[in-house]
Amino acid sequence: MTPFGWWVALYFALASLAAGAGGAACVQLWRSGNKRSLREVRISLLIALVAITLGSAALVLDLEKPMEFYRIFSSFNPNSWIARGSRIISAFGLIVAGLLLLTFSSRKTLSLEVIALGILLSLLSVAVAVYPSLVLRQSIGRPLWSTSLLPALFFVGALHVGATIARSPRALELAIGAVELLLFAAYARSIGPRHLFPQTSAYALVALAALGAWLVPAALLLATPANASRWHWPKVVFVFAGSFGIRSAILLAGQSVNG
Amino acid sequence: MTAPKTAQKKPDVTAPLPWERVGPEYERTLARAGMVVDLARCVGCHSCSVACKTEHQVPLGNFRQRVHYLQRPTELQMSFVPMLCMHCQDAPCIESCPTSALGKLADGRVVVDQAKCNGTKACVPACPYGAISINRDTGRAEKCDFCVQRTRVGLEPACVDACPTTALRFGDMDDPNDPVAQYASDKKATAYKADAKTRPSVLYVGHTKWMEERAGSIARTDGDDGVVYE
Repeated sequence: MTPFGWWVALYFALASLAAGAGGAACVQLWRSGNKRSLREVRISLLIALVAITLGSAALVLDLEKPMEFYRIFSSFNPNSWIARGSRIISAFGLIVAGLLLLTFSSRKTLSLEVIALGILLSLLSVAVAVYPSLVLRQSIGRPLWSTSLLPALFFVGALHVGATIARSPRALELAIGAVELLLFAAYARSIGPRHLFPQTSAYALVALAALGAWLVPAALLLATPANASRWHWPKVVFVFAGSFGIRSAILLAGQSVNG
Repeated sequence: MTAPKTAQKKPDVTAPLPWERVGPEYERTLARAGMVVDLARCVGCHSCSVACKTEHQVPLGNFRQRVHYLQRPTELQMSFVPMLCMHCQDAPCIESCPTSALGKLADGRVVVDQAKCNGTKACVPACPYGAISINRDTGRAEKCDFCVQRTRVGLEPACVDACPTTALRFGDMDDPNDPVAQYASDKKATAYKADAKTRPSVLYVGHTKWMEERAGSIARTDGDDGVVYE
């Protein structure tokens, strides 16, 4: 039985996108408060909001009883990382929405409320990025998920997305991408290639394709001039695809061995 | 000197017959419900898993209990390993369930509250024994509960009742005077997959490491050994 399927893989990727976009918005907030910066902040916040909303919808659709999703809030188990995560993403969504509204009411200068929410958002972005890996680590019946590499990999993955959205310096983007790839390679090595893609099916092929897509941003970075903006959003899409591929591969691998 | 006459005990004709000893008044109060599985006695007849499926109307493809057929590595013989929920004292499924649908009764057995379960499936990978599955009909988690509805009226769990070789024994693992606890102690019964550190209440007599490697989970199919049973 594969308890965590494609909806969960999609959620993991969207959570990474949301966390990265939230982090990017925080970085952009710390830059000068001119109109252009606020516009970029709003775009990042909008991406974060849409991503976390779609991700939450994916989680609800994954439930065997989607209409009873509210039980996660009404019957709360504080020890469950899924229950904790539901609160984290709820708070994240509210903060992002609140910050987005505040940026529309701000003019050139950043208000104290915006700065305070920005600090909260940066903390929640880290939580949103990392907690899915803790959900996997709580599944002790799947030994291939019991590794400390996963929290680091998930965090750096969100960082990669955020760095791409925030138009970071090329060297920084390349470095973060390289670290993500190295962490994934380390995880693959720790579980063994036999478990990495255990199913020769469309599932594994999709994960492979997404991973391949991940290499495209690196190629784009190297091949295009530093200030080429027309590749910016395609690059974000490819990084997101790579994030989806990595998380799908981790889910596939972990479910290949039980007990 | 004549020997004293020993009083002959007359049978109590007013006592209920075995099939009449059913009712809430016959419920045993257990400190910690548990089971001992004696692998030397198990002959792989599957009476236990059939009884379980019948008792709980478990749908096709779901298993609350399963008997693994394992070919021994060095002999041309088979070993049979019944696996079920271990009702762990440190149950990881309870930790992982976000809706608190999994919990413990007073006697320590782990049960699913069907009213609270919404099919998150977090419990399925959390269990190191693969004891939890999602019921294909209800969409909610399903697992062995030591037949609560039977033990509450003084009956044994269905699998224990059905086992022809008494390979399965149900009792109070925390009561040193309980025959099952004594049996576990005498036979040096140990936990299956003790390295999971969940402190299971189901102990096994005669299990070995290679059994754990080949049949570590209810969910794992026998096909791994080239012997397909179901």
